[in-house]
Amino acid sequence: MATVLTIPTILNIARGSGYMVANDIARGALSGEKLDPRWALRLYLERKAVEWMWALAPAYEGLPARANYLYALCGGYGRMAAAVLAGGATGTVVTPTAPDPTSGSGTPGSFVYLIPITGADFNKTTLTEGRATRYDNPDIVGEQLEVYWNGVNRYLEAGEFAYTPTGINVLLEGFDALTSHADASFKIYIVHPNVTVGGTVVSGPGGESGGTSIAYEVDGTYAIPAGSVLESVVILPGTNTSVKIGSTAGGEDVMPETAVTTEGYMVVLNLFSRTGRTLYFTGLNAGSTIVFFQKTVNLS
Amino acid sequence: MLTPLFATSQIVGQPSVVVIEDTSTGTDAAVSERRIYLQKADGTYLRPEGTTTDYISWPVGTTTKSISVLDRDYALNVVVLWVSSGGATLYTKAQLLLFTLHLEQFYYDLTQTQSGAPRIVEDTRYYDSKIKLRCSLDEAANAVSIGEDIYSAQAALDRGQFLLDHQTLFF
Repeated sequence: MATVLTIPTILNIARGSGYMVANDIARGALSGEKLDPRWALRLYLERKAVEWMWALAPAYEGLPARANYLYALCGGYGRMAAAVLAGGATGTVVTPTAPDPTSGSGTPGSFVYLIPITGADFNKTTLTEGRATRYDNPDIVGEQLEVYWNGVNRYLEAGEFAYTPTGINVLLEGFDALTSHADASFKIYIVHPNVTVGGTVVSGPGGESGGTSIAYEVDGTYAIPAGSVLESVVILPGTNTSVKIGSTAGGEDVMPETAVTTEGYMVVLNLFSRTGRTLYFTGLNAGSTIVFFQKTVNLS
Repeated sequence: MLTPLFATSQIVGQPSVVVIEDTSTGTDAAVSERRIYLQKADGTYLRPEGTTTDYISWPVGTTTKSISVLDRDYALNVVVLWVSSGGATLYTKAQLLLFTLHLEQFYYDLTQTQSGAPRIVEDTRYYDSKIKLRCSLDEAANAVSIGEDIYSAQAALDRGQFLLDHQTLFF
């Protein structure tokens, strides 16, 4: 699967490529392979331009294209530099895999594709220093989000957008959906929508072989997505405890209070939900993990 | 008691504007005005059109001040005075700073042009000139950060400015 290099990664690759190609030019001047004697110089000059703009205005229109041009100038040395960046042994730059929109409907622990938006969808009345930077949508309020912007070809990082009571606020300097970025394209993902209280996904999405493991530090919940069967769960508490599962907080209509040791306890539930259902786990303690085995039902 | 401090920045797309932010800590009720001096390497002062004093007045109560005054790139000795209602200087802070947005933007635009027309680099003088421009910017930065030398910094910027002013010959 193709991955998109971020601009900071390209800058690092260009830095690494620069010294590598300079060394090869120096070594190969007499009898080695003919290299453009100005290659390292060109890399330096073009990197400085991209580096400067990235530091000053990372949202500057067209900057990703300039960065890609810089990457192209690295040639084969770019791959070598990427290997060095990845640890010096083998491999290439590690970039996160984009969320899979098709897996979101029923697989816990995955991203759920929410909505693609453009600059036109931004709030044009509540402005930040005269710029339109806010996107409002009640469906994303209170959710953990990942925001992908084609303008920078990556997910926005901490500090580049902020949650607001009505949605999000893009903090990148110079961003303005009113004018310069009116045609900007975003994809907003809700992260781990099934974990609503007390849980952190530590692996997943799950399949038949392993389920999805979710870490809990206190009592928590789990939402069975619409059209899914939660077949079973394996409860692994941090210390020996008693656990019960219910449809309400503190309830035990799904599983009565049961002693569970750190050895683990598996319970078969086979709970189907057509419209979605939340389960409440009571009795969990620090260091607890629950593994969920679930399938999506084809209702069509 | 005030510990005077300020920071400056420039905004992409507005190379003539310098933004000064008062980052002082503490307060002093006796301060009634701030005055900004933008002193060039030749000893004269930059000031917006219509300003009759060497300084630019900066009323208290506002944290930032945008001044549209940079007709080109400069190394400037930026001095801010915090003065009392009687005009007495209470605090002073001076910094030697570079403002290079004109040249850096031009430099970036060259890269932008290249990525759209890569063969331009085969022009005889193109890279020689681009190297000179890069060196001018780096030399100016080093003159300030290493030597605190406003004259050398401005001389380097002048060399870059020459390339910018005659870009049809060099690029």
